[in-house]
Amino acid sequence: MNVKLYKNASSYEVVDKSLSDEIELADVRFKEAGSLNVETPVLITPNFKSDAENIAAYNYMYIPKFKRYYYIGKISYSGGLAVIEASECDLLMTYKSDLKNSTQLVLRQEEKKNRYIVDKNLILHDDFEFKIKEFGSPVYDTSCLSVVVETAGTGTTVV
Amino acid sequence: MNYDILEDYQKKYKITDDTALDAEDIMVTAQHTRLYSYKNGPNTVQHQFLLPSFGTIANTTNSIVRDTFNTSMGVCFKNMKRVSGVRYVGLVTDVKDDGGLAFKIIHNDSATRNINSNSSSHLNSSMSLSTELEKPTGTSFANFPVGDGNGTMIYEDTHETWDDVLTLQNNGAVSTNTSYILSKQYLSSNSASNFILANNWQDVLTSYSNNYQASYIDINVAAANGIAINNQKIGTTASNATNWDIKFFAGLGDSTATTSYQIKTDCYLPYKNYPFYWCHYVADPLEDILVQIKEGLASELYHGEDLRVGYTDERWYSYYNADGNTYRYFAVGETLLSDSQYFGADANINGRLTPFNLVLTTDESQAMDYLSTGTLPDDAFCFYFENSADPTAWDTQSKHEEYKNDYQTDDNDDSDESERSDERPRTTPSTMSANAATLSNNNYYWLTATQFSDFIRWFWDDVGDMNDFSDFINIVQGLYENLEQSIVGVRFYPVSSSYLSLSTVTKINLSRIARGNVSVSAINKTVQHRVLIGSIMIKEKTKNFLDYHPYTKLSLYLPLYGFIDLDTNFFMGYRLKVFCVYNPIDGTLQYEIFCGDTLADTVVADMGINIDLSLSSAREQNSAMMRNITGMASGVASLAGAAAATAATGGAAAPMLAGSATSALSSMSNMSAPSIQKFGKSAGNGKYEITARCALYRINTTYNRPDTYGKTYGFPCYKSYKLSDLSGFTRCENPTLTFSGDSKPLKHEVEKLYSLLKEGVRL
Repeated sequence: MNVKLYKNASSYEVVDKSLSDEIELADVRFKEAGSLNVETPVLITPNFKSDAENIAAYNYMYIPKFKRYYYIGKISYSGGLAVIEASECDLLMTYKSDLKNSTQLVLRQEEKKNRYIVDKNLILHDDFEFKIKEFGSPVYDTSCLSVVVETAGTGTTVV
Repeated sequence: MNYDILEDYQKKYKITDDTALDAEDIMVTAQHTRLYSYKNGPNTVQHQFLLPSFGTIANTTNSIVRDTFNTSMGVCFKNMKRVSGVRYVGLVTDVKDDGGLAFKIIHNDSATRNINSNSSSHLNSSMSLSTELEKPTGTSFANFPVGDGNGTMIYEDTHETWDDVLTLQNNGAVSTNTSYILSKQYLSSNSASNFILANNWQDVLTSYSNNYQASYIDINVAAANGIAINNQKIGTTASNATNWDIKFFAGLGDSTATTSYQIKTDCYLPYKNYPFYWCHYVADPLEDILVQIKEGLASELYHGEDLRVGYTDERWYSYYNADGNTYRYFAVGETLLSDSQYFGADANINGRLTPFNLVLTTDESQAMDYLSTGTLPDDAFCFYFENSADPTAWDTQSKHEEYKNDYQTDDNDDSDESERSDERPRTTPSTMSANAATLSNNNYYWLTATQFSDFIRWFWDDVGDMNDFSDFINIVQGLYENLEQSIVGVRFYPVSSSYLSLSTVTKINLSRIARGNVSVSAINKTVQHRVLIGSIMIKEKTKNFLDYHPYTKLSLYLPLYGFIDLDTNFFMGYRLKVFCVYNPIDGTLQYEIFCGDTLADTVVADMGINIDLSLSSAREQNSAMMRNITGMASGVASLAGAAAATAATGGAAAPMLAGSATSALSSMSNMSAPSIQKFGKSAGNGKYEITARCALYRINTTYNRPDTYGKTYGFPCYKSYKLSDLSGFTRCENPTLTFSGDSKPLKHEVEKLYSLLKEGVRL
């Protein structure tokens, strides 16, 4: 079978990996005949010298037979053969189309945000900011020397 | 004409054809910039809009006007004239891109004020004013009456703009002594003997006392002390003045000098008892003014609160500060006509003009800084257009400026501020037809110091004297016995009469007798004025949850009361308004705190200071005190023309009831707002020591959010998305997946995928 090798520059949590320098190896076999370990397969190939002098620089591969992407855990050479051990299936890359086509309730997002939801991850400071602003007209006017006089009576006789 | 804007405004404020707007609405309207008007009645020309501030229309069938013009706020617009007056309304005819608008003034009194020959009985169009203050073309403007008080039209035909004034001057149409201001009277009666010149404000005042009136005043602030009227004051005799309007231009600098700049404010001030009056004001936007200042002298700065035009009781402030001492501040557009004998305006003209886009400060250094760097002064006072940056908003420079704008610069922000769908009913205050005061036979009088002095003298020295036979009869009948017990209360209540509902009476009732032959103000027992004493927009600062409780706290300081906590979530994004209901009858002051148009809280403060002088047991004791107060009032009366000099002798306010009453009052009149650090609960005689203005305290939580925050943690989102629509760090809640391909994941692989989505993946 054929296997594609890549150089992966993306971090683990990236769904759609950034892959480069693809090469395709032919005549690749599983190390143990009859074994179909889809999670961490071990492959051997006799053609690495002709196909790629430097397959040791590759860290990522795709096995079309499984339709899975793998992180390469180890590449060794034995008896003229290259042994490529997958360390882990990259589930995010393998099922990226399913992920992207799914609709999820997004709790946090780098670009889509609701500013008015309390963000408890935010580091708040103790040094509160105080602002004081006077406004409006004076409520009273001390230059206005007015006196209210309250009297009783009808004042029928004017004097 | 952008009708959409007006329609939106109409919808927003639920304005219907039956809606009567009050001054508060005007303020709101003004704050919302252009949207000051609404559709006219159904039977008039469509797409005309009333400017809701201009008095009463007798026939309101086809129009929407407010009933009275009796509150303190006016309306003004950028580069706009304000025309106000009884029976005038404005029709918006055009909205300019710069926020200005053109409008027509309509007039409804064809009998005596027929402005347009083809006018009908109501709502006649008369004139147009352009936003650029250009002289309107056509004949309509020439027919705009300024009135002469005798029912005769005087047509203002010129100097609608500053250039017009100067042009007229240059053309020799006016005296060379009249550099800025044109006097219609002068033009028609060019007699030098009718005019005087003054070199400073005191000279003008003197001219008043000599029965000369300064009709048109030219101001050169660049002169000594900032307010000296360095050029010409033109006055005429009082008798001539009775047929005059006053036009007032306030100018900064000398228009003929290279460093000239003017704040152009003209207003027609009516005479007392003037049957109709008009005022119009012109104010340039501050940015223009500041630009002018920047190019010239920058020493003339402006005191914010004085930057108002309008009637404030007996104080037509002109170009000096309210305290009467600080001449360096320039009050734009207020005219001081301390002697209201000839110039007192009708109380209906309470409108004030508040120019927009003016930044005002009392701090010269900060003003200079503003001119050079744009840094807003700490005490900046500004009105602004909604569609322009509000420099007084709370988003001034933060200590953590580097993080402040993270949210604000996000174009992909999914939060929608318009989603706030509060339903807040408009609170309409009601009045009672009867109350405890009306049910009693007590009388309430509002006396000036002089009137009080006169009353006290009469009470102690004159009443009961047997001067004639009628006094003998009165004494026999015991009319004069225990008169002091008829004085139920006396309290110091320092507020302008414009804030009260008063009526003039000719006697002061006291038991069965009355002090006659007086002219004093009686306090209306039922009507209490509501005064919009101030408002402030409470804006989001960080534009996120930190603007709300419990991360942001708001407290409101109310003079004479203290602090009240405001519900941050309730007020955020709304205009806080503080109304005062003055109740001199019980000496209280009720604050009504509005959030927008919705009442949020009310508190009552003790405003008056009771003066104990009525109890008979205290008669002897109080005698000296009352005489002190009498002397105090006399002293104040004598201070009328030179209050500033005497006021400086004042000390603390405490001696109000003991010791030298003169010094007590002096200290009152000399009080000024202390620094804000002195705010606190006020009580007792010293309560006026604290600032008389409301203040908003705001405590904001600050935070630290590095640039990589979004990539590391993501921002709160909580919304469903198809993941292909997203990019970047994403965390999901309880994810579910379906797998469509031939290669299916194992069970534990599915769990791992879910785990990864919960922890966060990068799309």
